[in-house]
Amino acid sequence: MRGPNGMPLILFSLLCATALALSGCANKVAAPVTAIRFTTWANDVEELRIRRLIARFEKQHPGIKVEMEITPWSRVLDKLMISSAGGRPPDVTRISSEWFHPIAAKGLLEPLDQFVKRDNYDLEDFYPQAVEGWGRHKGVLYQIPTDIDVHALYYNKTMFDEHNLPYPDWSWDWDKLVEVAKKLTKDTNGDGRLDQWGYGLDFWWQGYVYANGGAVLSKDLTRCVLDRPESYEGVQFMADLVNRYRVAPSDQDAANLGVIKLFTSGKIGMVISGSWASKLIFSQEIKDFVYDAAPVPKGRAARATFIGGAAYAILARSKHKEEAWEFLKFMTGKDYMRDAALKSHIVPSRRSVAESGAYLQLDAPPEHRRVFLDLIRCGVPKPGVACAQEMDEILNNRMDLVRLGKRSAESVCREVAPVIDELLRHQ
Amino acid sequence: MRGSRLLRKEAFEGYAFISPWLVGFICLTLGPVVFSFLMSLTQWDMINPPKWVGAANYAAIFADDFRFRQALKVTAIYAAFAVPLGLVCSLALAMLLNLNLRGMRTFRTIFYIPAILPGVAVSMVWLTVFRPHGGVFNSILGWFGIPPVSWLQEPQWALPSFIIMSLWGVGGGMIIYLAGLQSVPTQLYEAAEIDGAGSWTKFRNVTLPMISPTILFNLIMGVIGSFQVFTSSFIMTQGGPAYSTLFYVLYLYQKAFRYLQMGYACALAWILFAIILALTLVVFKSSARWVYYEAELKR
Repeated sequence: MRGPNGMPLILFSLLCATALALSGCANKVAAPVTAIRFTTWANDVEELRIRRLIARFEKQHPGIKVEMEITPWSRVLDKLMISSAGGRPPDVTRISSEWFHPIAAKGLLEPLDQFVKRDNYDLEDFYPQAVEGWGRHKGVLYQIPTDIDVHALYYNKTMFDEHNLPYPDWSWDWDKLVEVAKKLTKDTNGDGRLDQWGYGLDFWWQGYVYANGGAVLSKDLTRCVLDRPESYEGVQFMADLVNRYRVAPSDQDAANLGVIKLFTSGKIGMVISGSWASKLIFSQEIKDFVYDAAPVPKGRAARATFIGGAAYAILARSKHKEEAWEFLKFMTGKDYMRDAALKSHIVPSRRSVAESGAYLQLDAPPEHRRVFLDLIRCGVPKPGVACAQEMDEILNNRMDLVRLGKRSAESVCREVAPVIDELLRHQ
Repeated sequence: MRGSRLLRKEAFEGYAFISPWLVGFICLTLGPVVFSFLMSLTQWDMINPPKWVGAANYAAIFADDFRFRQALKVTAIYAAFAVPLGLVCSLALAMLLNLNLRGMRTFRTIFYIPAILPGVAVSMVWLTVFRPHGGVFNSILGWFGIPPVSWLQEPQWALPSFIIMSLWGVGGGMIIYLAGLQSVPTQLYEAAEIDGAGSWTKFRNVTLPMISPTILFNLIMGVIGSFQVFTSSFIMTQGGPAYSTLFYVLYLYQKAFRYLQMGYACALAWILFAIILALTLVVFKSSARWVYYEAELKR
């Protein structure tokens, strides 16, 4: 195809575009604007919230323009990996604690210690569990946490009232859990099959290990210590809830709906789940009963719960690190977190915001929202190893056998520990 | 002199005409193949530059990779059951659909449709078919008083579930058998009938030998296909429970794209290639004994 004067059309249009761009520049008197690219996941509410904040940031920093790229949560890791390999990663990204350590270990993230020191950034305001859990990798600060996801024991208050049972509180331990859960477990329609359970197993079997005084990895993260009695006995307790005490649905019983759906449809009395679930799941799915949050029960040795969340980081291959740091400071500031707490009910990682009315006085269930903040100190984050995902996948597959009652926790854990040792050696 | 110039010109034009294919083959097939072999000799996470490790990946796979052994076991068991089952069922189906009945075209279409549906959608459907409570299979079992089976939740049932599910795709083999069956000359059946052959004898001594090339083709495609199962296990079980459905290609995918060990995954891919190649060669060699080609007889 040809343009005027027989010039190839492509060349002609390129010329036009250049002319347009030049005339655009000429109007603004050489105010250099740096565009930074920012990757995040976001639902509709969150997207609106973040866009508004970005607009405010751009107003405060006329020299910086932020291009937001929304990617589904499950695709962010791939996107970061692929764009880094291709040499054109975003400048700032939001990262989940689920994949933080593998990414940091690959050297994809920019160390932030010198920025924090130079600008006197108030890192002390943050919950140390969050900063240590998914801010630092091997002692180096790579990201600033914003959202916390901490797990608590949700319970169906209406069901408890109907059975005249005391609500779970800080005095509860595993024995009490089993005792009360037994009273809630029954066959309501008389077909010989259980259809209401006192408790539902959460995906995080590690919690039972830590609560029993055990651990998955040794303190220096070089060995798997699941083969110690205090570790595997915790796993065994989890399996016993299904197979011995019979107070929780088996994988087969829960296969149709899943444990969370069973809870929201009133078939399960208690379930451990994340602080985010109340806004994102329960507010939509729970219609005909009242629920609340309580501390997770204490195990034989300790109280332990899942903690994770999101954070902001700068990519090591970014070409605009100063601008990126400005944006990162803004996004991890108090305004952002207050906003996130008010609109999305997210537990803020800044203590000053978490302890303020913005979070604690939200007008929505659960009534005892404070429990989440109090449980943060019992939170155990994902171990900081590069092979965290592969390790979890191997272990989850082995734990299937224990939960299904096919094998004892002891034999499975003794067998799998050397496999994980090997994996740790080669990561 | 003139002739050779003409020949050269002709050769050049010939290459020019096939160049789209040549370029495509070299860039899109041969290049990646060579590249993947080189990468199988490295440690590479796709972000940092590859590190040469020689045959270390292969050594690690054969020496102490329990997931490799599990994946091989799962895939081999699956192939050992799914391939013969598929061969027999698609042939049986093809013979039924080869009968001369009204509306047979409609039936053929109906039975072929499953073979062309996208794997992801089919997997989602089968997830509901296998549901422990209210799923199709357990409801049927329930009519006969058989207690529900946890198809995909129990390690010993998960792989058999996939084998059952493989029957969903028999339409693909069926359509090829149909073509084979229809090319069997009717005079052979007539001659056999005059000799007093019953329907079993006709099937055994006329149909089977005449369609044996088709059987060979379906056998090879079946073996290759069953060693490359991925979508269904990726969607339905992610290899679980307890790695009972860890198909080889699923493991390869996990290594490459989830754990970012592309070098290791390339080595896995080459081992898979060697296995499929060896199996195909064995089938080919054996075919001289049982496959009948009309053309050979004429010679």
